[in-house]
Amino acid sequence: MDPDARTGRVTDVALGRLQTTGFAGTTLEDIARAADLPDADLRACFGDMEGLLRHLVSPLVDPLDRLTASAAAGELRRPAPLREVIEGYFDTLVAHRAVAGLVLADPDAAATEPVRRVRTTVMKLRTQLAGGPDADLDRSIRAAAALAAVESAVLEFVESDQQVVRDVVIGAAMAILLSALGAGTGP
Amino acid sequence: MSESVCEATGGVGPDGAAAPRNPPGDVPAAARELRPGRQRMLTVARRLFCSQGYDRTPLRAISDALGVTKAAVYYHFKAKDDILVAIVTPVLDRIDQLVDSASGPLHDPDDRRRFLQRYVDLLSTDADITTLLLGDPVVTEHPLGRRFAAQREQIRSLLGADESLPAGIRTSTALRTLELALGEFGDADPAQVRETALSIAIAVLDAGGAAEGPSASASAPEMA
Repeated sequence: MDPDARTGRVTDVALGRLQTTGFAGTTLEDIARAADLPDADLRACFGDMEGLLRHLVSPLVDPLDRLTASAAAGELRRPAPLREVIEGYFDTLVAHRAVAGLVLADPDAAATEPVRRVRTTVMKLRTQLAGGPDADLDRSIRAAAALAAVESAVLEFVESDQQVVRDVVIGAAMAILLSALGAGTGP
Repeated sequence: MSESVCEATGGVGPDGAAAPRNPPGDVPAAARELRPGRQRMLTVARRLFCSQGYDRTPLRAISDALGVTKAAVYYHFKAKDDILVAIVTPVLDRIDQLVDSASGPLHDPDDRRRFLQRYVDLLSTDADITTLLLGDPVVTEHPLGRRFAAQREQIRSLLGADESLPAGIRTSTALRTLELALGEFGDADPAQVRETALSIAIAVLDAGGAAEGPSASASAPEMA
């Protein structure tokens, strides 16, 4: 097996294992066994579980960095650029759904440096959606809720028609961001 | 043992030894309920479970935080699980009452809003418990967590989740965002957090039709 194919196999096996047994319940040896590869090969390639995790989350790093940079440069008070950011976030998570699940839903993985790095980028995106670090409470909550809406839909509605999921959740996230404080809460 | 000593020591003698005169089996349940030490234990255990996680809080941590022996905790609770049950069950009972109060699917927007308002009020009163039920993997898998998951499904149904895929997505999103707002921003201005959480949930449930189309952005308002 050539190195690329071997790395691809380890990636697939590792994501499958981590999805079922979680980061805390998975060892490099488990993954080596499941991938039918020697432990030593994985150790030589990744060092330890955190090294493997760094490799696994790497596909999310660049797209999220780019998205955050574009959000920083965009005028997010206007709906069109705002929508582009939400769409970009949805599409990025869907393209790397298994990795997204690891980053967003595994509390033990969340404590590791590679996952913290990704989550820090998401927090930056959230801050930009809110309008900056000094955003008021209402806008901070709305920014957090809009991203959480996207994340939960990506992780929950895996088997559903993805175009419908995309349209609905992006519409919902836009409604969260654009509905003014107090709208819909009157008597 | 006087009530004042019980309050001060959590049911332990002045020497710190676990010295209940009667083992739990000999004390009527109602009498144990009334001992002030029990409520103090629940308060401390709740703070620890919610701040560091249920699994990461051994009984020893609870007794240490109370300044009593483990046996003193065992005087009131047979196991750590019993403490969790005592903390979480009243919250779930109140959600059951809310769900039972709805006679069927809430099609009327005003009915939906009133229902969500009451749900927000319930969750915000116990935002730490909500976060524990949703975010602690051990509690999520616990029968209490499964009971909460079933209640959420009932609430989704009341909000119309079963009518179509978009409705299902919107109800899930509304509940998720509402819970996130109350859980993550629970330490901020509670009244404003409740108001924003409710506003978000309503906005999500009402976001249909044009808002979902690709051209929606053209007609949407700018942010304030």
